Amino acid sequence: MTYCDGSPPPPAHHTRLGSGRCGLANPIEPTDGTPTHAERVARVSRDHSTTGSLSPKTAEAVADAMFALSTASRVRILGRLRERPHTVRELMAAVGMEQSAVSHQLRVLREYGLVVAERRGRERLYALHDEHVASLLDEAVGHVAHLGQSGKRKAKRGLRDAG
Amino acid sequence: MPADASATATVVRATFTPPSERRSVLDRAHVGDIEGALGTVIAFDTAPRRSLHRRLATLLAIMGPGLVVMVADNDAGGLSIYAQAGQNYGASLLWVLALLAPVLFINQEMVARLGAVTGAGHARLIVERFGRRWGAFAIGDLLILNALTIVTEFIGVALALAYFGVSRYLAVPIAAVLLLAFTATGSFRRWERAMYLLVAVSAVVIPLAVLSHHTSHSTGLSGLTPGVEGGLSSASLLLISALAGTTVAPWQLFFQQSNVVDKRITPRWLKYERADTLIGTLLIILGAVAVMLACAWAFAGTPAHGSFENASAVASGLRIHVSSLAGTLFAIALLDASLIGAAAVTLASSYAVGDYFGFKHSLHRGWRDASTFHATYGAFIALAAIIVLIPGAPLGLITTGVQALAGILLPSATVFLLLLCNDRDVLGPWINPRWLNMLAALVVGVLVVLSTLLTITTIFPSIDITTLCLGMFGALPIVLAPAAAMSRRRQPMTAAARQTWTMPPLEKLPTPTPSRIRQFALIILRCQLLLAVALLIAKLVQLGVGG
Repeated sequence: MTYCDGSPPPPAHHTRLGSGRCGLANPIEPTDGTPTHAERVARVSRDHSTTGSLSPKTAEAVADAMFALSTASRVRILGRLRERPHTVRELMAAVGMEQSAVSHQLRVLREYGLVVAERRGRERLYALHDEHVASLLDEAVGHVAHLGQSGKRKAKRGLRDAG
Repeated sequence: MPADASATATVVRATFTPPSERRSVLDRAHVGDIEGALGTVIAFDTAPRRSLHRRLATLLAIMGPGLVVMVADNDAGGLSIYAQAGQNYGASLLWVLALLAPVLFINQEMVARLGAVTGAGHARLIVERFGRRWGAFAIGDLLILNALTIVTEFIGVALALAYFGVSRYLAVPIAAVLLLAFTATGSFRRWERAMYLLVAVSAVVIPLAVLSHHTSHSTGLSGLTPGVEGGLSSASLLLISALAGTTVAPWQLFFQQSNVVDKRITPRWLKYERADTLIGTLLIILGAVAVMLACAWAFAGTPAHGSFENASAVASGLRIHVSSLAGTLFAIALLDASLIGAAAVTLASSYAVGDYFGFKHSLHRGWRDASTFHATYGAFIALAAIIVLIPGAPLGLITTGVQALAGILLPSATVFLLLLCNDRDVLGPWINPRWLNMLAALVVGVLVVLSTLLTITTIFPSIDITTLCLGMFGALPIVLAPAAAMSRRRQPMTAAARQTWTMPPLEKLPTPTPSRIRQFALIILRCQLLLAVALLIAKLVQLGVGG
C-alpha cells in the first residue's frame, strides 16, 4: 500500500503568501502559549521536508481540507470569498443558491477550517480562514486550466500505458 | 485479442476508482477502509469472496451496526416490558415477539440499505427530500425523545446497581464516565469492541432462563398461539402496544443508517450487512424470549404473578422465588442493557446533529477533531445523569413522555422511510421491490396504529382502548391501499453496476416529483401530527383545570 509514495512534493505554497486580500485581521494568531501561525507552518513544512512524506495525522488533515473543496457549490462560495468577505445574503445573490443551502455549505467550510465568521452588527461576515486557502484555491484553478490544455490527454495516455 | 483487452480495461478502471472512493458523503471520515471490531476490509478490496473462509472473515469485519442496534434495543425499558409481560401474563405473549421479529428486520434492512447506498444519514435525507420543516420536526422530536430515553437508561443503571447496594450518586457518574470513554478515543474499532463486550454480557439472560426453568412449577409453553392469558383487556392491549413501541423505536432507524455510513459500508457489502441485521434480529428475539420466559416461570403460581412493579422488584422477586444467583444475573442484565442502550441512543443523537447541521460526525475522529460531535454526546450523557440524580425528579412522567413522543415520531419516520425506499433518485437500482413494499406498508400501517394507540392511551389512560383499537385497525386498509400502487419498476442493471451504484451528491439530486401517493402520505402525516398535538394540548388543559 505504497501508492502515496513517489508522488512529486506539492508546491511550497507557504512561501508564496497571498496578498492578504481576505480582509479580516488574521484570526488564528493565539495570544496564549499555543504555537503561533508561523510556528505551526514551520512545523508542518519541517515534517514534510525531513521525512519526505507526510505524517498520517497531517495527511488526514490535508485530506479533510480537500474534502471541503470537493463540492462545486462550496468551491463557488470560496471563489466569492477569495475576492472579499461576504455576508450570507450577498453570497446568496452571488452564487444563486437558497439561504439554507448557503448556510449549510458555510457551516461545512467553517467546520473544516477553510472559512471564518465574524459578527458585524446583526449579520455575520464570512471570509477565508487565511491566505493559504486563497493560494490553495488559486493553485487548484491553475491546475484545472492546465488540465484543459494538455493534461487530460496526457492523463488518458498514462492510464492506457498503465493498463 | 479484443476480449482480453476489454477485460484488462475493466480491471484498471476498478483499481483506480473503487466505488467507496467515488461515493458522496457528508464527512470525509465516512470513506475508507472498514475497520470492524473483528476484521478489516481495505477500501479497494471489492474482489469476489469465493471461499467460505473468506466470506466468514468478511462477515466478521462488516458485522456490527445491525448487531449493536438490535441488542441495544433490549435496553432498560425493553427489559422491563419483557419482564412485565412475563410476570403478569406468563408465556402467553410470546407470539407478539414472533410477530415483532420480521417487523424489526424489514425496518432495519431498509435503513441499512439507505445508509450504504446514499452515504447520508436519515435526518439529512428527510431534509433533502421532504423539506426543512419535516427535517426540523424529525430531528427536534428525535433529540427530545433520545434525551428522555437516556434518562430511562440511567434509571436502569441506578436500579441495577442499587441491587448490589451501590448508591446512585456513585453508580450514575461512573456509568457516565464509562459511556464517555467508549467514544472519546476516536477509534471506530475500539468503540465497536466495547459494544461487542456489552453484547456478550447480555447473554446472561440465557442462564437466567435456565435457572428459572429448573425451579418452576409450571413450564408449559402456551404462548405460541395468539391469545392473552386472562382474555383481551384494556391493560393487556396497552402492554402489547408498549411491547411493539419499545421494540420498534425511532432512534434505531437513525442510528443504524448513520452507523452503516460511519462504518464505511458500501452497496458492495449490502449482502453482509443484511446478514448482520438478521443475526441481530435473532439475538434480540432470543434475549426477549429468555427474559419473558424467566419471569413467567419464576413468578408462575406465586403471589407476585400479575402484579409487576418495576425492574428492581423483578430482581428481588427472582432472588426470593428462584435463587440469589438469578437475582444477580437479572441485575447484571439490566445494567448491561442500560449501558448499551445509553451508548447507542446517545450516539444516535450526536450522529443526527452532525448529519443535520453539517458538522463532522464520525467515531473515526477524536475529541479535538470532531468537537461538536463529541460535545453533543457528552451533553446528552451529562444532562441525563443530572436529571436522574436530582432528588424528586418526575421519573415516572419521563417514562410516560418517552412512550408518547415515540408514538408521535414513529409514524412519520417509518412513512418517510418507505417513501425514501421508493425514491429512484435516491436509491436508483436499490429501491424496494413490489413485494417488499406491500409487506413494509403493512408493517408501517400496524406500527402507526399501535403507536398512535399508545400515545392516546398514555395521554388519556381512561379511554376505552378496545373500541379504539377496533376502529383504528378497521381504518387501516384505506391507508394501505395506495401503498400497493407505489412500486416502480427497478431500472434494469447488471449486478456489478448495481454494486457500484451510489447516490449522486445531495446537491445534484433533482427535486422530488410530487406524486399522488407522496402527497397522500404527507397529508396523512400532517393529520396524525395535528391529532397528536391536539391531544397533548387537551391533556395540558385537563391537567391545568384539574390541578
